[in-house]
Amino acid sequence: MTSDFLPTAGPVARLIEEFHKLPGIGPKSAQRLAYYFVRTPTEDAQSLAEAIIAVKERIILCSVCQNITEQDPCSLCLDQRRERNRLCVVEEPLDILALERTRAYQGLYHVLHGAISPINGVGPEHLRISELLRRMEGDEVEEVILATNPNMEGEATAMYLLRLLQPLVPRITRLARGLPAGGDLEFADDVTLARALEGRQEF
Amino acid sequence: MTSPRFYKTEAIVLRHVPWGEADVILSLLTPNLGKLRAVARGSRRTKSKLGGHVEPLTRVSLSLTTGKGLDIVTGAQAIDSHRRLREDLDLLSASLYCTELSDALVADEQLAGSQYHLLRRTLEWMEQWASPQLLISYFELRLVDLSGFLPELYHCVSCRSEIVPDAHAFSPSLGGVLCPNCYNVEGRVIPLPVRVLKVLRYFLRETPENVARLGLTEEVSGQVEQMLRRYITFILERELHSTRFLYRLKQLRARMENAMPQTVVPSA
Repeated sequence: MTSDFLPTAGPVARLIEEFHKLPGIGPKSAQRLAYYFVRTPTEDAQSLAEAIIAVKERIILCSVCQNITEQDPCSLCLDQRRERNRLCVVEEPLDILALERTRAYQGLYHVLHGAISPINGVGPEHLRISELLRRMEGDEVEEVILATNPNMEGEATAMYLLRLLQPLVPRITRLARGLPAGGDLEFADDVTLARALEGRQEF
Repeated sequence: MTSPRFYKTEAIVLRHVPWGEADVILSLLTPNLGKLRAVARGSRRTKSKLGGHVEPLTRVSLSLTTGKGLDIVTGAQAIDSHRRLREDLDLLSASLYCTELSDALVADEQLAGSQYHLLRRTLEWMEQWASPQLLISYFELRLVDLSGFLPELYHCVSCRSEIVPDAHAFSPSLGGVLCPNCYNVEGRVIPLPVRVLKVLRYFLRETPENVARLGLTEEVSGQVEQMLRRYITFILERELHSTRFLYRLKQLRARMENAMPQTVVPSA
C-alpha cells in the first residue's frame, strides 16, 4: 500500500491500510470504505468498532465442538434435544450455519478450522483433529458424517480422517456428491457426473 | 509478451488458491505457454460451470482472455480428471508432490513443453504403477534433468575419474558422485551405495515401462528417495510443503500397522 504518497489525511490513510488487510478487499475498495466512514455518523462508526472488539473479546472456541461461541460449551453442544450419537465434521464454523439452514440434521458438529492442503503446507497438525479423536473415546458416537468440501482439500481431509476414525467408529459416512439443484447437466465435470450416476436413486 | 485477447490452451492445474468471495487463482502448466496464472471467477460456487473442471491435477482444455493483471478463465472442459488419484490418499499425496515440484522447478514464462509432457504422463502412470514411491523417484530425476540439474552419475565431480563399483558418496552442492578418494573434498555428502547408483542410472537409461517393472527392496527404495529428496532440497533451497504430508502419511501407515489388530487412539 502506497498511502504515504497519497494526499490523504493521516487517519484516513491509516484506515485505508487497515481495510486493505481484510480478505477480498483491494486498494480501491479500501479507499471507498474509508471515505464512506468519513461521511458516516460517529455513532455508526462507534457501533462497528465495538462490534469488532466484542468479537475479539467475547468469542471463544467451544471446548467440545470447536465452533465459535460466547459460552463454553456452545448452545449446540448443550442442546439435549440433539442426537448425541451422530457427529458431523465440517471445515469452518460457517458450514454449520449452512447445514443448520437445511433443518435436516439434528446431530452434533465438530469444526476442524481448515482442510488439509499438502501443497499449501496445511497438514493434519494444523487442524482440530486431536480434539475430534478425543470425542471418540467412549462409545457414544455411532456415526461420523464427513462434511468437508467436495474439492481436493476437502477430499484429502475426509480420506485422512477415514483412516484415523475407521478403528474407532462403527459408521463413517460422507455427504453425497453429485449435481446441484438448479444446475445444468452439460456444465458438470465428469467426476461429479460419474458420482451422480453412481448415487442415483429410485424415482 | 504480447498475447492475443482470447486464447485457448490445454493445461494441468498445478494448484489453486481461493481468492475473494468465490474466485480461485490457478497455477497452470501448459504445453506451449509455460507456466501461467489465471483467475477462475466464481468457481467455488456450487453451481459454477468451472468448479469441477479446474481442480488441482486435472488436465483441462481452457479458454482464456487476457486481463489487466491475471488472465481470466472463460471456459473449461476437463480432459482427464484423474478420479482414481483423487480417491486414494496415497496416490493423491504422491501426485500433489509431483505437481508442487513441477511448480517449483519451472520458472514463470519459461517454455516447459517437455516438463508438461513428463507431468502429464506421470499423472497417468500414477494410476497404473504398483509403487507410487518408485514413480516419484523416477519423476524427480527426469524433472531435475529437464530443468538442467541432471546429477553427474558416471564420473567423479571432483577428480573426473570414471566411477567404478565402490563405496561412493553423493554431493548435492557439487551435483554428482564423489569417488572414494575425493569423499572428503566436501563436507555434506550422502553415502551412495552402488545399488542406489545403479537404480539412478537405470532411471535415465530405460523406458518408463521397464522402470515400472523394477522391484526394489524397501531399503534401496528408501535410499533412492532420501538421496533425491536431499538433492532437490539443495536445488530449491527449501523443502516442498507436500513432502511433510508424504512423510506424515508414511508415519500413520506404520502406526496403523503396528496398532493392528487392537484399537489404539492415535494422536492427530
